[in-house]
Amino acid sequence: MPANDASGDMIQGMLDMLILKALSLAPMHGWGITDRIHQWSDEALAVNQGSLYPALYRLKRQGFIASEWRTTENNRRARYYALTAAGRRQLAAEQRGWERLSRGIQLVLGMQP
Amino acid sequence: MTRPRNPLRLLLGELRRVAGALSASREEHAMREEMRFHLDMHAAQLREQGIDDEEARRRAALAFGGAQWVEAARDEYRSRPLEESLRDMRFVIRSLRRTPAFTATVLLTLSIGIAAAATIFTIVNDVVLRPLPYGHPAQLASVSHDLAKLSLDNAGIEPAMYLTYRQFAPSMRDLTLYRTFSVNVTDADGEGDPQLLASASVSGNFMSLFEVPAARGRVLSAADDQPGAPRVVVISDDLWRTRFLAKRNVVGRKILADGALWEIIGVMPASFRVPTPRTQLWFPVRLDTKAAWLGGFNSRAYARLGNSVSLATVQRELASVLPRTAEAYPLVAPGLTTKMMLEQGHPVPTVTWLKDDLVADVAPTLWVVAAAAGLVLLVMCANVANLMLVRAESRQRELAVRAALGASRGRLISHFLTESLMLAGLASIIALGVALLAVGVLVRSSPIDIPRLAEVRVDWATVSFIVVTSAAVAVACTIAPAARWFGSGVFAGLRESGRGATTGRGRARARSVLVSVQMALALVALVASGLLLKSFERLRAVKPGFDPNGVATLWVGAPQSRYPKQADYVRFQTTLANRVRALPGVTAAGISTSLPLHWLNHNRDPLYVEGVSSPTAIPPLQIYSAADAGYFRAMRIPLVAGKLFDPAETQRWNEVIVSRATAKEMFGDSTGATVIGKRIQNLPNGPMYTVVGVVGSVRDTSLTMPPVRSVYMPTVVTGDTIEGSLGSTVAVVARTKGSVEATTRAIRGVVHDLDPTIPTFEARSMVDVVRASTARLEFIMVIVGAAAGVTLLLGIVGLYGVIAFVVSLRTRELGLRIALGATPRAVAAMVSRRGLALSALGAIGGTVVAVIVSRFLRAFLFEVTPMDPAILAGAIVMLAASALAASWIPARRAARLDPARALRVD
Repeated sequence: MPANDASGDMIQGMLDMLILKALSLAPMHGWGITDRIHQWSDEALAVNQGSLYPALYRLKRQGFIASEWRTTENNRRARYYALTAAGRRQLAAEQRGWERLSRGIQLVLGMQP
Repeated sequence: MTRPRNPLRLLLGELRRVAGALSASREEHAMREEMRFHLDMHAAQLREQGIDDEEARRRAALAFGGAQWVEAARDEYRSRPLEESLRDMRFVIRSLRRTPAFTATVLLTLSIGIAAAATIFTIVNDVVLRPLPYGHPAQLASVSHDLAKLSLDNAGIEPAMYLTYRQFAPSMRDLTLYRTFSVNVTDADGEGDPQLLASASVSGNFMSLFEVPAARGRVLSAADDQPGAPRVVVISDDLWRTRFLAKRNVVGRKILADGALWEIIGVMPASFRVPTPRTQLWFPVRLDTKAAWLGGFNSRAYARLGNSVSLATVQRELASVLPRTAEAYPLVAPGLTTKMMLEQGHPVPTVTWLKDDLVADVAPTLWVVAAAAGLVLLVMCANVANLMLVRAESRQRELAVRAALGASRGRLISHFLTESLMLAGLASIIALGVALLAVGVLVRSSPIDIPRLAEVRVDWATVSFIVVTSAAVAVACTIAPAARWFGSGVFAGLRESGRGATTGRGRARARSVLVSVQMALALVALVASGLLLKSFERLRAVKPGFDPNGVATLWVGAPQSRYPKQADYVRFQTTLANRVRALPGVTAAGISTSLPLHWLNHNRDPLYVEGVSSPTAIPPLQIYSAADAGYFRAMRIPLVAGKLFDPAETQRWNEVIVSRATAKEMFGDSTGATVIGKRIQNLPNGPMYTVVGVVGSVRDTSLTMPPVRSVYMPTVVTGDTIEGSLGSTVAVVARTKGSVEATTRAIRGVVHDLDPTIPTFEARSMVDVVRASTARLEFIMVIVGAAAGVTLLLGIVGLYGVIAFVVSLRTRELGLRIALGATPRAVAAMVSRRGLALSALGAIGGTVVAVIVSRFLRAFLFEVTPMDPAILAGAIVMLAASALAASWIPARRAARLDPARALRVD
């Protein structure tokens, strides 16, 4: 339930958003998501596996992402995650919320007293 | 939480663990694979950066971290659906406990509805639907004949026909002959309690046709069935347990049956219930094939058909070979040829599946009862759906808030469903208990004679019926509130709670539809029960031709076999009749070989009028019985002309008395005066009898049938006359001023006193005999009447609820009207109008359904057409009156509204 998540800890909410964003390009496996976030953030963000998988399962249960076993280009079996329609909407909503929040934070921090 | 752990909580925890463990292994495996992949990929990446393999693995493992978070991942991963439904369940239990009245009402309604349906289902399933407990039951059929020309329906078969069919009809694999009768049994030494037992004489292949082996000993064989073969008999499990105390050495013992010694060769299993469930002894018929005859069609036959042979094929085949009977067996009786019998009687072979034949009498009754139970279940379902709607109304804000906070439609529906399922689940557990009790009571008390009743038991079929029914009820009861809820939009609840005057109209409409349906069903039930009630009254008003009040009857088993000598028998009978007549309170008493409306000993034979009937044409059949003068006096059957029989000692054997119907139809004289002195025969070459009296007609076979032509012979038996075939048991009939029960006991004492080896049975007052003949109609009438009562009551409750609800919704508007000068009368009328409109809708729908449905009742109706306008009108008036009463109370409340307060209502 989004209502609960909004009141949840920020880190978790951020991670969920980042995962959704990482998956918005193309379906990917857990390792790929870590790697993608790592690269896109210019190596600033390292996702801890200990938070990644619980978050993936939670998002899946909430219906924002779906999973499927596929083979990688190296011919290994891996669980791929993909964004659902609901996940896409959720990402858009969270992104809007985040932009508002970060603009607010920037305004506060950029204030010249 | 300081609350002690309650058992439910413990149970839920336990459930969660079990469910987790069950699904754990597969998920665990998938998770491990996913983790391993992650590690490998990380290590591979490190290797690409030039780190050696071992170090890469070590670092990847290090980065992956400990196992603590795996537990967290696992928690997120699995058993969430279960957890959510458990949360739902807990929530539902809490909210149900908060509304005990609602919960109790719904549980009670559902349990009664489901229990009634399950009970009837069990009986219908076990009696009508389930295969018979014999080998290849789908091949079994019964063979009988219709002799429409002689108005003899469902007559049996004659041994001569049986032998012909066996010889010439190849589509039947096997055919077996039987005849039922009662036999007087004592121990071989003539000691022990005499018992009159239901028996059958059967051909040697009887048990092998059913593919049922003996439980001990052996079954009858073809060799036992030869004329002159040793006298052997097979007994029932019941007789073995009761008379022989289940002793192992019963095979080889002898019994004395109707004066002859028979050796017991086998015991059948308890499940062997042919030809009747009461049959205790199977004697070989020992048919003399050379002297087979045609006659009263008193025998019956079962057949085993070949695979995939149709009944029509067999019937055609039998009809085509039937004329060949005349070749081997040319004579029915002296002067009456088989050819004449076949051509004029025109017997039409009828083959019926045995399963259908066994329950043919009772199946329509059971289906009507099942329909009544289904109707009640339907109405109860509507009522519960209505209650659920009311409940959803009262919680609209709570649900709207939950929806606003992000609970999905699925979650809300699953909440409704959980609630319905839990209620239906609880109700079905109660219903199973009630059904167990009810089936037990029904099987033991059997209000009507139901074949195969002993096979009825609550089993997995009943349980699955209850499970399926309650699940369907739960879903149906969920749809109503859920559809209502989402039809108006999830957030309507928040908007509608404002101060609008017309709020809730939509929800009132949903409930109105349900109430109209209930009213329609109530009308159907009312019409059905009205038709049955009227039939019953008409039937009760029928004058049977005798006066049953104050008459005791008791059957006496086979005195002739005990007294084969004419003089001894006459002495026995005279003493018996005289002693009964001398009993205190007894005003008249007599003896007869048959009783009106009683199933025993109704023999039909032709009647030839001397000088009128042609010997080559078979004249109409009459019921022949034997009676003494006291019988007519005791039954108050009036003497129309001539005289009654003389006392047994002086009675001549060749005198007869005929009924008025016979006098009218055979002699064209309903006064009977000219019939006295006429001479008749029952066979063209048979002895001549002289008519000495004419008595009033009696409805012998059924109250619904016109009086039957009857001929009464004297009870005195002489050598070569018809009386020999009139059955060896006689009924003692006594009219008393005192208690019928006491008189019956006294008669039994007289018989025992005269001869303790003669059994007595079927002690019933004549009133009971008459009542038993209408028992089936009465049973259906009571069941359908109860269904009508329940559906009407539930309809009224539902209507009351809706009107009260509408009044509560319109309180502000009504207050405004009163404030503006509307009279209380006008307000009350306005409100009740709605109730009447709903009932009118229901009445219209109900009339249409009733017209269609009442046709199925036709078989039970007597002197009433299925579309009796008076009954339809009466039912509508009753419905309208009930509707008025149900609307009146809330309407009165509306009329008494205090406008000042009404306008302040939130």
